[in-house]
Amino acid sequence: MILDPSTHRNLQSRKRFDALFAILCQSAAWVGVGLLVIFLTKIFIDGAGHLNWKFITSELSQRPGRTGIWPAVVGSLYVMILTTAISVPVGVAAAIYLEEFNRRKTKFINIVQLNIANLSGVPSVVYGLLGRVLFVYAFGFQQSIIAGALTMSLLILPTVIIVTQEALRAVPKSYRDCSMALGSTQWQAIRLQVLPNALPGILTGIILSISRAIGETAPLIVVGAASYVSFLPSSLGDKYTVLPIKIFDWANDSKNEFHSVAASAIIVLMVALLFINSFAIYFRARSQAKAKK
Amino acid sequence: MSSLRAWTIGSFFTLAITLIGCSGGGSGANSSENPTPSGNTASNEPAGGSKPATGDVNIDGSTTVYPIVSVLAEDFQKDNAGVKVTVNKSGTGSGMKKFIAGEIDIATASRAIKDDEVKSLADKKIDFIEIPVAYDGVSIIVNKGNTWAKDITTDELKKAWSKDSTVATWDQINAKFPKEKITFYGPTDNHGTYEYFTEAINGKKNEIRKEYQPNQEYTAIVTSVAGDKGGMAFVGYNYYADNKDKVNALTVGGVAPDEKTIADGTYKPLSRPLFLYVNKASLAKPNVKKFVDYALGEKGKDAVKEAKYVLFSDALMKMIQDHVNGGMTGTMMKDFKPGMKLDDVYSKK
Repeated sequence: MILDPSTHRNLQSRKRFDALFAILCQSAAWVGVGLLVIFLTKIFIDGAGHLNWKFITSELSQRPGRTGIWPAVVGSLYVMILTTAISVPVGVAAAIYLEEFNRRKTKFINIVQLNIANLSGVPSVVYGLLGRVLFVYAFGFQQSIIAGALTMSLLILPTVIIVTQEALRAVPKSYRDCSMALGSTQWQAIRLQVLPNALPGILTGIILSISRAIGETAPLIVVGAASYVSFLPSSLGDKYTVLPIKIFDWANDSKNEFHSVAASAIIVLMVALLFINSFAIYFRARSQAKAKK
Repeated sequence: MSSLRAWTIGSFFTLAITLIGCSGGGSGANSSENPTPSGNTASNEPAGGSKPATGDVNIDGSTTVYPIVSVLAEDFQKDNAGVKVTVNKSGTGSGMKKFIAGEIDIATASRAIKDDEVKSLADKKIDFIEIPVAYDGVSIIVNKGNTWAKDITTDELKKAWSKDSTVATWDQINAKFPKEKITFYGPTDNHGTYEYFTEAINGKKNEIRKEYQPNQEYTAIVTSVAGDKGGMAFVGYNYYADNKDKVNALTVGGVAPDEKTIADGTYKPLSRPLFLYVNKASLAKPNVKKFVDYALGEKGKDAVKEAKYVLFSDALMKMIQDHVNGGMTGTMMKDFKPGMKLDDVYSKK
């Protein structure tokens, strides 16, 4: 039956289809890259003019020629550090609990798991609204940097938990069994065998989550990051602004000169994100190299 | 050995957070729609200083007034180093809500305060001082390729924008115009500009035609009209003034929006005053008082000019200054109707 003459007759057209399909897939791959190149070129043409060290270290201003982004850079940095400090311990601990201490999948655990998976898909602005009700009003933090950081922590927490769980799952069960067969407690097995082996995966996931948090605008608008601050935040209760908010504001300003200022700020934000993401790639590469040994 | 030590230290840390994490993961299941657990755990963070320091000046409100106030704040900061000034622009309505909640010292508004807002403030025992800062002229903008319409009357505007309007092409507004499709753009309903325009043109606040494309950001509105031959929109004067190369403004009843017609009130009924509302209790804070004085002085005039809005006459400025310095609380704008002049309101008392 393999040499069915009808199949043979179609060979030519099937090969043609094959070639066409390959071209289609290839162009699909290039669409993303092409659009990105166009976007980046436009941003660089618009934004390169303003970009210099003084732009990064100057204060915010309502005059396009004079403005800098320093308060926004510092604000973004603080939000990032606080978000990491809050979400990483909680997220990693929750993942250890779910993965290691609850091998028997009870109904309860299933519900928790389902919730976390769903929460990671909730739009970010919803977290903003939650943060506004909870942190800004109920906890009385007002429009402070801690309220913003807590909201961002909520936002990335489900992702941190999920990636940590996956990293833990990738550690072979035999490691735990070995350790416990030698008389260690479960905690010792996790501490000495599982966590060190899962660490690169966990770090990669965390870094990618954080870089998402840096680029987020919507939740911070809702929890009240300011458009103009005349100062650098110095305590957790201070008001603040972040880079994406300023980009959003400037892109919408009535003065056209501000649109190119927005482009410059986008370049700064993108370089920062690239830097952070390359860390993630470095960790992944290192863990893969280790695994090969 | 050193790595073992690091892990021991790390393990204590992890142990502590595991305890927190367990309770966090646990209670998350009980309330599926409300992921609060991490919030509770996170409150272990030192949440210092949730109360603003007394030296701060916090401002929020109108997007339209933002360019004036942010220029003022910047200059004020330069002359008074160390004062923390924050300016936000969540919209007149949203700013008023925060003002009523006592969260901000100054609310900016592109319309006068409303009766229910006055009442809410009275309920909260918040006294406020009303300060008009500049005139704005709501401008009707159209595409550069719109060669037919140069002027529009208020009646024609009403015909096009009112609640029951079925106008879909330009010739339905005026028979002299061609049968070109109109798309109606403008700000969302949290903007004072929206409230003012609907009251001035349609006679009733917040009532507008069904096919209407609202946008939170004015730049997006200008961009839409610049790319839509039949488009029409209403925006604050500075958005027209800064974008004269992209869009044209229609004259309303034969009067073009410019600094002169807006200031003397001949650009009727779409010229309107912009306001600051100051919490009287906040004036006890020296920096807020200083900022208000700053806004009423020469620097205030400079900021208005720089933001491309229209200055009051010196006589009116003087009346407003006396009003504020006299510590007069409450609103003067209760009976103000679009098209009226502020000079008359202030000279009446």
